[in-house]
Amino acid sequence: MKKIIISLIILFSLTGCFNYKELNDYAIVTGVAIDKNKGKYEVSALISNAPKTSNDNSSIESQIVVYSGSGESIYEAFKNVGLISPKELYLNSFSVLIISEEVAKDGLKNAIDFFLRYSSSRNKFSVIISKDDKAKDILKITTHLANFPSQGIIDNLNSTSNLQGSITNMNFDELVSKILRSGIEPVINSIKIEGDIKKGSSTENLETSSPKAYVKLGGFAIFKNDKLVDWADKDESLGINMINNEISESYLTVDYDDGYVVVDTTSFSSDVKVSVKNNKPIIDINLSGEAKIYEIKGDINLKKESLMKELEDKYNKLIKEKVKKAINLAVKNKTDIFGFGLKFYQNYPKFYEKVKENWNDNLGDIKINIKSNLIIKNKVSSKNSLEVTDEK
Amino acid sequence: MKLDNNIDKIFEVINEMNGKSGDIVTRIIEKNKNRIGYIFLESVSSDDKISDFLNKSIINIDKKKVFDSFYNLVKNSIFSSNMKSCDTYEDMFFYLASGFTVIVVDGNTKAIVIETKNKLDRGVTESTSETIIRGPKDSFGENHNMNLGLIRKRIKDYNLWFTDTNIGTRTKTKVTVAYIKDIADKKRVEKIIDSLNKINIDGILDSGYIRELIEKEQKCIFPKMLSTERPDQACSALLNGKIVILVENSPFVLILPTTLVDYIHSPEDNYQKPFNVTFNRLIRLMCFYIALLFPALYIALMTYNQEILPDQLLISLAVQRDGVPFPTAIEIVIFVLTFEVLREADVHVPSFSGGAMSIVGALILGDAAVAAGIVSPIVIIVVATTSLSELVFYDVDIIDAIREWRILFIIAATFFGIIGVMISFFIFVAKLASLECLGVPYLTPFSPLKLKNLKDSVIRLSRKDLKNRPEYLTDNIKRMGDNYEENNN
Repeated sequence: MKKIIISLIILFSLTGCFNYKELNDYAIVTGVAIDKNKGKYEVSALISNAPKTSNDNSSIESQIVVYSGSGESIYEAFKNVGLISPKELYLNSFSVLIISEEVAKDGLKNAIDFFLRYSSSRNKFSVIISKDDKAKDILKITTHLANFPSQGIIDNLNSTSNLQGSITNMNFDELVSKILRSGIEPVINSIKIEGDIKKGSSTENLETSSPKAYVKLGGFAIFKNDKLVDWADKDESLGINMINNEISESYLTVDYDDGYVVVDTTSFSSDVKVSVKNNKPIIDINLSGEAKIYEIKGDINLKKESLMKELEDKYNKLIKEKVKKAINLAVKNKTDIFGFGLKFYQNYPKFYEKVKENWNDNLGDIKINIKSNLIIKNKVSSKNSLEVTDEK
Repeated sequence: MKLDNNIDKIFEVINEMNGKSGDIVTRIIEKNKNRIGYIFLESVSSDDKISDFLNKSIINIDKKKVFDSFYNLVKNSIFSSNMKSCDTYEDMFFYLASGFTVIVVDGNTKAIVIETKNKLDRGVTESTSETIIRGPKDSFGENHNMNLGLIRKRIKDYNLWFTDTNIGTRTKTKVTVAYIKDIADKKRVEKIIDSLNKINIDGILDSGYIRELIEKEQKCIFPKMLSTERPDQACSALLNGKIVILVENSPFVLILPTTLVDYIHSPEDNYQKPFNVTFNRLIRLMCFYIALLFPALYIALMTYNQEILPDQLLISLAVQRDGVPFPTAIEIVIFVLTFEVLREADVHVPSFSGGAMSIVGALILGDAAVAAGIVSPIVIIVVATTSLSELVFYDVDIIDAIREWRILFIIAATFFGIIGVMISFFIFVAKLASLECLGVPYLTPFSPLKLKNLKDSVIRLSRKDLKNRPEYLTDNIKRMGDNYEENNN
């Protein structure tokens, strides 16, 4: 008994409670924005667990607050945010990191180094680049369908990356590996505010059914050696995602006569094969999958097999066009955003070692064959477009 | 003290022995110039039986019958199916208190004892503490013979043996060890009878006494003998080769050896479809862990290891906690204790004030505590889920054991976070693994792992696959004939 008491005393006096912290002593950060302000980093933290002041005691809601601080380093900036925040910042579970255009142009390496080293951060947060607007303003725009802005952005990224071809959810781990690896450069989706920033960041924005401001996802920011060099438009973004095999659903409008046919993929896969012939690199891109007709305008009879064939050809041609556009963008900016170099490194390491130095500059000289074999499966109930027909 | 041979003397001694208690009734009848006296205690005897059988038969004694003595004449003329004799005052009083009537005649130092018991019990009623939906509903009662009968009528095998002992120097309570001779392990039966015989105590009022007295490790919190009030449960245990102890005046019989997995089983499990039984047992196993660990894990996650929680939940929890003046651990302890108070009160509250209590419990302690900012709503959910989970078990001993370990887990979580919970869980498993009951390890069939016996552990296969009894209970393992399929086709 004596032994037990002594060991208990030792146990509780020499150990225990070393990282004890009540949850409500933390200011939980759900989104972080990095801006440049007079040559210094300005870090903004979106804190989502501020209790709402209300008379009704029983309903428990939270409201958001954004604190900003600036410093030479990201770490210093965070410490300066800590001077404002009454509670300790909790950085373990933030879900989105917004990097402003300015910071991205200067290079991502410095900006993300802190998050890579910070021991308890989760590394699964999404990274997004703010176009035109300040990153911290994006954190402030309230949204109807999510409890706090960062959640709105994440939900939007997750749903649209499945439903629209031009969006991909880039998480931090992936970004870091793309920056650190040779032969592949990252692309990150952009985000933009539409509307009045001031009105959008107040609760007023939530009280109307037509919000005064909202954030909208846009095309990719193209990076070269961790520095932002160009923006891709919607078509180019679609092409990039097609090559990178990041597409599950993506619609295209095929023009036909006066009308059009809207086709959306139900499955899509791309297969990039690299080979070396006569010391020259060759890339084969094979696109395959199935698509479905969603909308028709004009005099189009889907019962005709020849017409379906024609549509399919046009559709595949259209896809090839998008892919070419994306490749042209990469060639123009001399950045290998598709990871072709990485593929050569994996399959032909000796060859890649030789061309490594000028790989990005010589991107335009590579022979790229694109094959698109998508099939349109027409299982729509109505074979014709809607029109009045005489009953016979 | 030997009996005297004079009726008046005997009556006097008995009255003196019992302080002239009011319920002693004596009467002397003169028959053919011989005196017959009888004594009974009106508190435990049936007047009707005495006047119907005893009085009538005494009056109808026919002198013409040839017997060598008047004692034998009386003995052979009385209508009674259960007749004994005694020759000491101590025995005589034991019989009187058991509801027998003692008949004495002059000139003989032996008394005739006939059974005239009054029914002082409820009869066979429905089980109250182990209710089930499908299956037999009868329950053991306070009448010892009735309890034995409820088993006997289910197992009509001559190998079902009842071994009686009387325990308690003052209560002289009948304790019966029931077992099926050719299935139950002989050594275990002997061991139990041996330890029963070693008990030297003034009184046994319930099977709880016996359990405490024959259990070796008194400090062990986990119960090592299943107690049940369901005869079908007892019979199923007997058929498996277990041993059942029945104690007079106690509706709860003891089943041993017991392992932890028996507490996850329910009496109903034998009567339902195997798949549903498996599902129910998995639910019970889940509840076992929830009841043990949920509050501790909550504390650990809230105060040490927040990074495990997803961010939406984290924010929701953080906002709920806001404004609560106590640390999370204190909050949990307050509410766990409140629930224990509620449960304790609920057990003893008469049914007419149950309504008032549920209002106090649900409304005031639940809703008002949150509104007043003493606890956060999530704590109520945690404690309610925990308490609900522990109520899945019908055995009160396992519920108490879970509760005590839960408090240990809470303490570990409060001071050491999730690591504390893990370490104390290791200790918990080690402790369970160290227990044994009559040589059967407590965690059988999981540790030591017995693959054959897993068929009826957490999962239950269909009866066709359960042809054998568990071999850790018996050597005679064949339960079902091999030609089962043939007979059915």
